[in-house]
Amino acid sequence: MVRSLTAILSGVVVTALLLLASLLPQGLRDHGPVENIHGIPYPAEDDHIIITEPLAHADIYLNESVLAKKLVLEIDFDPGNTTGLAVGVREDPFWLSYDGRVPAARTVVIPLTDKLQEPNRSIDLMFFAEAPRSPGEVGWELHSLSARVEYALPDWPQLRNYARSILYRERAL
Amino acid sequence: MKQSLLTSVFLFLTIALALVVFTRWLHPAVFPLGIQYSLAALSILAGMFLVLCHEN
Repeated sequence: MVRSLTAILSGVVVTALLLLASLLPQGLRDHGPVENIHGIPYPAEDDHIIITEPLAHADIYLNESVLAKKLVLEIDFDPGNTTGLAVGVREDPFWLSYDGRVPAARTVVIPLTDKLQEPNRSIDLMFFAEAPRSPGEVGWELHSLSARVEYALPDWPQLRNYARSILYRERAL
Repeated sequence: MKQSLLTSVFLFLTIALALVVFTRWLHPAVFPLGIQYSLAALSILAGMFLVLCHEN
């Protein structure tokens, strides 16, 4: 009886240690093509991508869980005729759930623990451009985008959202 | 003594494997597939040693 309990506890401890070990990886991560909301890549010209719609999306391919991680984006862009540019990571199954969007700058840091992660471990990044007049007149250029994953201590609400997304088996709709 | 130790190792590896498989069923992003395969291989090895030990 005692031996079985010890074995069960050891199994739980080993699993917890494996989970802790999976928090360690950091570094640069690949990203997919920058696309519009229909999945069509924006045209690339020389060394930059021309964004002509208010929304621009790219997948960031992580090698690890989003738990206790933050995304550090290095963005080099020309705002063109936009009056404001923001960036966010999808938070729940609803396709436009980017509540935590932040103004785009050269360096943007986004906590990832409470963000939605696909089964293939990718996360959805979205750029939001504000057009001066009509959406058809949006025009800005993305010169470079790099995504780095770093360790970040999550707070309690982020941990609660992470646990909920795992327990409820949240997937992108 | 050796058999008892092997039994414990086999048990905790199997329990860890079950937890990892269950967690991956909940969400595949939590644990990589490599961890699941490694635990499965170690568990099978421990089981084989246990059977051999029992026979001898």
